Amino acid sequence: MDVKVLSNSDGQLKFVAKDADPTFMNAIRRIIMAEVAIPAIEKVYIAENTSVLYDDIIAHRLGLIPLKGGEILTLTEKCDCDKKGCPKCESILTLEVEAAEDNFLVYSGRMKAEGSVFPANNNIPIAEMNAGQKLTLEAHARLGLGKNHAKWQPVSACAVKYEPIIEIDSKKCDLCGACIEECPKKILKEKDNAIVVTSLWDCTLCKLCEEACPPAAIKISYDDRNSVLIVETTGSLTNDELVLAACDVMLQKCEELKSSIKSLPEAF
Amino acid sequence: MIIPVRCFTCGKVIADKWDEFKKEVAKGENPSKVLDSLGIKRYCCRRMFLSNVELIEESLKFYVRPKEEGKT
Amino acid sequence: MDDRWVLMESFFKEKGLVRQHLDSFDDFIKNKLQEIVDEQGVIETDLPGYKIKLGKLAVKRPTIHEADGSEKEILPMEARQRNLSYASSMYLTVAPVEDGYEEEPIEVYVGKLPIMVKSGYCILSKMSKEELIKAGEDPADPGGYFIINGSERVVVIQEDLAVNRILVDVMDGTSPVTHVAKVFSATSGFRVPVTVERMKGGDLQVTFPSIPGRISLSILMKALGVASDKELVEFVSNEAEVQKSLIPTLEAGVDINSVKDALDYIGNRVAIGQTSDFRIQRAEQILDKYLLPHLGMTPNDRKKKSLFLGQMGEKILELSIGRRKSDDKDHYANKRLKLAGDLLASLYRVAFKSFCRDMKYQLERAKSRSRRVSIPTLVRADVITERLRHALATGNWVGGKAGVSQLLDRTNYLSTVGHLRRIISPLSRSQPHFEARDLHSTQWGRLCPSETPEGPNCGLVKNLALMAFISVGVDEKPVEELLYELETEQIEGARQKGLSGAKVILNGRLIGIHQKPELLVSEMRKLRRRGRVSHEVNVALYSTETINEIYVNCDAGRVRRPLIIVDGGSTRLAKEHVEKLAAGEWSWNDLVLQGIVEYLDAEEEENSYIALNTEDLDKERSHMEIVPSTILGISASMIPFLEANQSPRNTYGSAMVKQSLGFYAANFSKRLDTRGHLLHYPQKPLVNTRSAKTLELDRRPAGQNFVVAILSHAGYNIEDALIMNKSSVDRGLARSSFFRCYETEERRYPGGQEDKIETPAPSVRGYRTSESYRFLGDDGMIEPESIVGGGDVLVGKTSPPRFLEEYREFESTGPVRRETSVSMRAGEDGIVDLVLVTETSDGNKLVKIRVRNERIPELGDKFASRHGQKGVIGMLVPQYDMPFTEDGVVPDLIINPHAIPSRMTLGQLLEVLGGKAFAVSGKPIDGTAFCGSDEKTMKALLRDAGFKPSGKEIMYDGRTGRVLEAEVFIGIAYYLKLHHMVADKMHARARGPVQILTRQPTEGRAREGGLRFGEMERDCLIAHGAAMLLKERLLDESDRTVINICEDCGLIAYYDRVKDKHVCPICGDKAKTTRVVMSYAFKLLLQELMSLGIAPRLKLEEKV
Repeated sequence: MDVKVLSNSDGQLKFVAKDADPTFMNAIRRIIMAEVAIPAIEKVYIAENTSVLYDDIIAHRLGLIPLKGGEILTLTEKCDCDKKGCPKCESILTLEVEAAEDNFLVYSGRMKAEGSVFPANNNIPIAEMNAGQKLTLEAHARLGLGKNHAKWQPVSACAVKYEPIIEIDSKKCDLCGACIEECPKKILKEKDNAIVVTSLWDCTLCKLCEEACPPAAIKISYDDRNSVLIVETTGSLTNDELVLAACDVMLQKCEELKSSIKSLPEAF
Repeated sequence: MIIPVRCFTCGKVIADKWDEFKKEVAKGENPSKVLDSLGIKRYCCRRMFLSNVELIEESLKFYVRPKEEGKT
Repeated sequence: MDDRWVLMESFFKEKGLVRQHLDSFDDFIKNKLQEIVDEQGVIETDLPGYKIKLGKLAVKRPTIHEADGSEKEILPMEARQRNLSYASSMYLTVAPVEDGYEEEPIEVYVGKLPIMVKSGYCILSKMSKEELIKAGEDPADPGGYFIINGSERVVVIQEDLAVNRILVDVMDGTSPVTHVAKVFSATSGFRVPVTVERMKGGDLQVTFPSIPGRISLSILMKALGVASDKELVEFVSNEAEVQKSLIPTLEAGVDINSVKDALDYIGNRVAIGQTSDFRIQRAEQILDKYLLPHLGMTPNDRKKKSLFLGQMGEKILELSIGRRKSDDKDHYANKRLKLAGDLLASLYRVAFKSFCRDMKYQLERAKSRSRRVSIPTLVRADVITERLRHALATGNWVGGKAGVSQLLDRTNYLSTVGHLRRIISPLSRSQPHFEARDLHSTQWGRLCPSETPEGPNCGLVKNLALMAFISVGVDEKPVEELLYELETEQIEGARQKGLSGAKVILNGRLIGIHQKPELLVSEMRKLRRRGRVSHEVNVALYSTETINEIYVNCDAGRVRRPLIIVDGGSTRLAKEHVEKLAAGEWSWNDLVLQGIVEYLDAEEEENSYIALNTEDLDKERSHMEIVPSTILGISASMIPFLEANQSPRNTYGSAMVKQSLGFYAANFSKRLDTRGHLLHYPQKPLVNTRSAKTLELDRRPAGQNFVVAILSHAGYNIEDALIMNKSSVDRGLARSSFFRCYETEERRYPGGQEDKIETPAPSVRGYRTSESYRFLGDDGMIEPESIVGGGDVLVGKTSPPRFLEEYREFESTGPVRRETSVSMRAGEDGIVDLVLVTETSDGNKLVKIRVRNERIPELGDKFASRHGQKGVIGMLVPQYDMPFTEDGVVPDLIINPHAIPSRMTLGQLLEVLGGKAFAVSGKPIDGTAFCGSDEKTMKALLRDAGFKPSGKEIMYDGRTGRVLEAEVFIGIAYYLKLHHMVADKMHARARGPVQILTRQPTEGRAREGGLRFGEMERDCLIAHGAAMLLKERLLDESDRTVINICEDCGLIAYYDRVKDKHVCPICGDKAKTTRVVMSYAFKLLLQELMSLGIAPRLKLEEKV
């Protein structure tokens, strides 16, 4: 397997893995989405809420705020507190606001971290209030897995893409330029009397060029042995941390499998 | 109501960018350009901005401060 | 095109959506109310020389009478919250007249008149936006409804056949009548049909109520004062051919040659065996009162009546000799709409009559006791108040019409507005009435072609098109005079002179002949456009080879629509007009006044040739549409690319947008509707219509934009199921809150007994477990934000015993009170949202509690697009299992490809494409019917953004990571969450309540009922021979009882407790009885038979 990072910008990490089965890449993708533990607010104790948003809505909004600093927590399911929640598996954040003016926005940054966990993004509006409205609450954050609720999903988009193959038969090509016109991604160019591909990975396999080429000189296909993985985190973990954590989870799963197979009776 | 915290579909945090979007669009900026500059690329996230209605502001007006109400 | 939209916008800015109701109601208070009082004029009494003269009726501002006797002004919100009626006091000036001496007039309170919200008499109508908010009112609320006992009620528009217009028809061969001409003569409060029939013999006969049988037209006309046959013929027609066919009629009346004879003839029918004088008097009375009362009810009006009968005769004869065709009853020129004002007027007339009757009775009674009477104390104001309140609260109108007022639909804003523009036809739902249900070409621009319910009401319940406007009606006198001024020859003179020309018919009545019909019509129109005649007057020329008629209408209830006037191939609408409108210098009304735009009724529209768009303009055209898509109603205006859909889909779609959850009112926190829904994150549609934007439906949205893929995925979207993204649902997609309000009142009973709101003591009869009361505070009410479940008590209340005997047995312990607490519905749970404590107008404590319940989409919840594509969730798939594009976009919703081809909802495909194009490019896509964005534009936008223009993308299976070999059509569509949710319907029962009478399980979810094991299920068990199971289902698990039957006589024995024995009532206690297992319903049957005097005997045999 040959890995190359294509880009790491705009919060997106893109890397190619050559000679990796797409199903393997998808396994990584699925682990990233579903099995990497990150913190999120799970329980909210509302002391006072005179805003127009109901407690349910506010609790739901709080749950969706990405949190950082969950590394030292343990998963509540694996904690010895019997799923009740204890300082080892829970971290507390508090919020106490009274709007001083009308159309006052309460941002996630107003939340005070009592433990290790804090909002990854301070500019998320939680509620809008008019002067005199109050919101006082205590939120308990826990680690969780994406498969249980989308708030514990560490990524927004996460996708696997096959390597496109663009074959241009220079013998058949009459340089009419129809394919250049047609390509929505504008990745074809005429250079030195030949059609060349400028950025192969941008091809969406839409095959418009194929359809547009009268002599059928261009052919689009894909190579599923080489694929690219796109990861975009929501802020709890960085892209690199996330991919590494996913690999750890995978390894751990393999270890578990290995050890359980080993522990089987010899008869097997 | 109020801008959702995340894009429903993909889960990208979008609420933090709403203020900026609203400000720029009110200035007369092309919404598409603002979204591009905010790094909102996928159409699932873009529709969250383009179709949001700040209804909370309309219901907020009906809030009566406790001082004005009860204490009579 | 944009210019014309400016026109439409200014129309709605000025009129709003419910102007018809408001105008009609204002007209009712301003004019009709006083007219009704004046009709009565005086209250005559049986006391000699004593009567009461009625004067002005004044309507004050809306108030309520509090329990302490004070009168206080109220706002609608207070009425809603406190279960009050939003009504104004009416004061009538009366002057008693005694022996010709008129006393000083005094003002007396005569009752309360419910006030339409936002009408001229409503306090809200004069408020600014800020003031409205302060009053707790949503500024976008349209008004147009009443508040009766705290509930909002709409008086739905009623469709009716036009009155005072002659309609002719051909009868089928089997009847002795060949042709009929029918007219409903209606004047204030009265509605009398008059029919002229042409018999097989060719003579004309008239029928009208209060005279049994048919009367020859000639005799009737003679009775009305037509002196000779010559005059009679002149009254009918001066066409030789028509006159000739009148001969059989003349022959029928040949024996009667004077007015007196004719009257006597009629009198003989109604007053048989009376004296001749009396007969004549009765006949005259009937002719004046019951024959064509709309023409007047005095002897002076008889001439008009004979002319009208002549007009009917001519029309029917013309039909019989083929000079004209029969009238089309479904033509919208022959229909009138009755609005709230008209309906209230008929209600008020009856109420006022009974008020006067009551007053007369009270006066006579009081006067017989003492000499001086004080009128204000005699007036029973609640006669009118109750009559009006009761009719509005139940919908039972005078004349036996039911369902006239309905509870305002508050599912979402659109359904509210839609409800206020609904029209119901009184035709019965059970008969087919195919023609009446069909869409008629004259409904174009007046009624929505798409929006009608399915099923028995199809085509009978209709909705107003966007720009349809209903005439309020103007006085016909000045119009008649104007017509004479414009050289219309009065009919009598014209007939004597034998003039030929076009008949001029004003509101159905022939008033004269005009010799240059085209000139008159164009002159009238010119005057109207100049504002010299009211814009409500419509003129139509109906001319064929044999017929020449001018119809002038100015009555109320015609559906009219505005059009731009076109002269010689160009519109009168100039650029500068649009600019003035846009700048706010001009309003819509200015356009009408300037003669740029005019309203046409269905009759006048027959004379016009209307261009749809500017491209169609040519010399022939007389008008141009303002906006073609305004032929649609409000619901259909929500559907983007409607013209691309198969038409029934639009009908389904318009029905479903009214069931979608959204943001129904900005003041939802102040409202206590019995049930309400609120979508947490409503969005405006990405692909929207201009009409919806103009109506500001964007501010009250009812749906969300979903990323939709058309794909089969694991088969869980077969048969219109939907696969939804569970992660999207986790993030708040389609989340809503459901509210239910509970209320209770601390009532007072006669005898000083009263209810008490408190936590009931365990000694109270019907005490539940103490656990049920655990949330109640010291005041007996629940605290807000308590988490409650089914059966939990919200307000504890005890009531005095129902019957006085009940506590006589328990003398020592005192009266035992009953438990009458309000508790949560079985199977529902939620969080107490609001506890409102207030007082009713009787001074009773009223507690209202709102419980909220979060509704997260789950399996079985119903969703629909705006194109009539509905479905229920079949599976929730997490994001990582969903198919994804290379950008990482996953769908929120996967619909099955089979939903598309057979239904042909191409509009939905365009919407998905347009939604995606808008989202990627930020350039708005317009989905307005007939003028929306082009498919090419959308495709270009997609291509520019790097997408395949077809909207298809390569997707990868989230489960395996392998590419899906087919390209997937994916984009954004607006989806609606409909209010049919599993949480409201899910139901199962193991044990539960039974009916008292039959002891069988109760029925229905609300009563925690059993699930019916029906006859087909029974058949199934019989077929399988599963006898034991059958017996278990039908007997053991239902109403099994054991009854002792007397072995000797076979009748039911009873149990004697003293003897501890079963005793046969006939054979005594010596008889042997046997226990028999049977259905309790069967036992009941036996006893019912006994009560009929039948002795059902059961013959018992040994079980083998």
